[in-house]
Amino acid sequence: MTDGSAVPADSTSSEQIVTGLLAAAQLTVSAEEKAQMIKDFPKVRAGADALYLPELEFVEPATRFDPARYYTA
Amino acid sequence: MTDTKTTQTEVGPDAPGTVKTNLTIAEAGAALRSGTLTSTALTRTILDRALALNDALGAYVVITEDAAMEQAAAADADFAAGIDRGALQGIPLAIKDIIAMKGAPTTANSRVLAPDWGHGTDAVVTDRLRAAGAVFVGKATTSEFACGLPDPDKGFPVPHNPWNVAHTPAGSSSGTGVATAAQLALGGLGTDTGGSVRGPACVNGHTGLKVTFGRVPKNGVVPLGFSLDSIGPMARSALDCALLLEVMAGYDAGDPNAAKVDVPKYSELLAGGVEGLKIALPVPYFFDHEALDPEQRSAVLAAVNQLVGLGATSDEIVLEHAAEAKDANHIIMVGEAYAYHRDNLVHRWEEYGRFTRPTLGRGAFYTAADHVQANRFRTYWAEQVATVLGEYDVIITPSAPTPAERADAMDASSRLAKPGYTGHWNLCGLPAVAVPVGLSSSGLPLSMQVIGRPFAEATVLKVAHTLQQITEHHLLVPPVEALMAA
Repeated sequence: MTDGSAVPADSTSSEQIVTGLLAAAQLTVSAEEKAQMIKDFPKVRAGADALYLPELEFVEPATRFDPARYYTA
Repeated sequence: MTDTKTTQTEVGPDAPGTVKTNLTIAEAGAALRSGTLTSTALTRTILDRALALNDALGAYVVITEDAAMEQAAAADADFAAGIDRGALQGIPLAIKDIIAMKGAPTTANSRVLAPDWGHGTDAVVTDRLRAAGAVFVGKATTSEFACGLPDPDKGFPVPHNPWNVAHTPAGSSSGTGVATAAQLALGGLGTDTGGSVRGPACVNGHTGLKVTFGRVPKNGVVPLGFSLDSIGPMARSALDCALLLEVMAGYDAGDPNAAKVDVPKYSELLAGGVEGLKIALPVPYFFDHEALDPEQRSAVLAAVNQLVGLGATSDEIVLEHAAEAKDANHIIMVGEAYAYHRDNLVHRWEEYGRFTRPTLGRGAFYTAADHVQANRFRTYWAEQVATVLGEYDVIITPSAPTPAERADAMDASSRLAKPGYTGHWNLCGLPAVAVPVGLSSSGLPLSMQVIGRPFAEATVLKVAHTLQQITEHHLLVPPVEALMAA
């Protein structure tokens, strides 16, 4: 299992990634907000990347779809 | 820790302006039934306090004065006619402003929500309280869309902690928390996705219950995190929370997540003490984190010792990856919220509050795989907690790492790095009650959290109630009279 790590190595890559993600999401933020997002981005990604744990290799997600739910008796 | 009790002037029974406001719901109910109090007098007094203090405390978005007095008069008329709709008849309550309520707008404290959202309707839970004869003082302030922090530039009241207005009342159910603490209501409704009932209960010094996911139907409530949200009672005592919950809880077909589980008479299940109760204390992260305030830790452990003195037992345990559980809850919440808000974030970014939009916008920084992985972690975490609760009756932690922070020190980014002790239990859908356990040396409330098995609200409330039979922390009232005089 890979950990899918996307923690940027430096602030330059954080800026590039945040710029790209905001553009892809079509979010128009102020320069001040963008600067804060760039600063926060390593922490945001670290929180997500930390969830790719070896213990979860055979674990199913806590989501369930019940096809029968949409049919009345 | 100080043990100072701020007292309220106790005066005569019934004339408006002379009615005690530091009543629990149970006490007020007894007075209403004994004829020493009318709902009209109680409601008038509460309304006068709310009107006098709302500029200073920001508890309400709107105070529904006329409608409240009509409800109070109807409650009194019912009492006079021998009609008793139960413990909430004639009781003034605050309704968080993401919950629909007839006769008042639902704003979610946002310029983005459609002005006619929920117009003219009650949420299921509001309807149940109304049918039980409750009185609605108004719509209580919330963090915008139940996330973020107040933005004073958006035109909504900014809530303040009544124990010290320079400190946060927490969120997102800030208004209900402030109103309950400052006696601008006897209790009310909050919602909880990662701690939004327990946080305000913790820092404002009263009791607040996050219920089992699905225990209270959510139709008529603006969503934040679909798979995490719950509606919970907030009040001074555990008994009051029980009285509220037995009206609020129960299946409704309009909420696909509503549970078809019988609703017990919670208020009748709180007696009997804690003899034989098995308590698990998860020490790593929850009791040994460097950010945990020593006074908060000491107060919680002192309360545990009191429970042990009453016959409970406690063991230290380990919950692996507790720090990651906080992140998993956050990622699921932000992902679900981002899906709901996406189009508005694209087109109306600046209409959101300045602390709300970066929190919601964070959803753009997580991948779909991250969301799935957070849900895989959720399974792992729920199984681990279930194993613990297979052996123990409850888990106890501090409700938060610290007492209320200074409001001017808070921002959307700082939360990323800090520990949190509440979202863990939304992640596994469990009931958890925040219980006051004293005041800090700076006079701010301290709080303990009691977590139980699914639908074991009676168990966690019983632990809180037992503690509240031998302590008065939940009865302390904040020093708001100076604000009133000003």
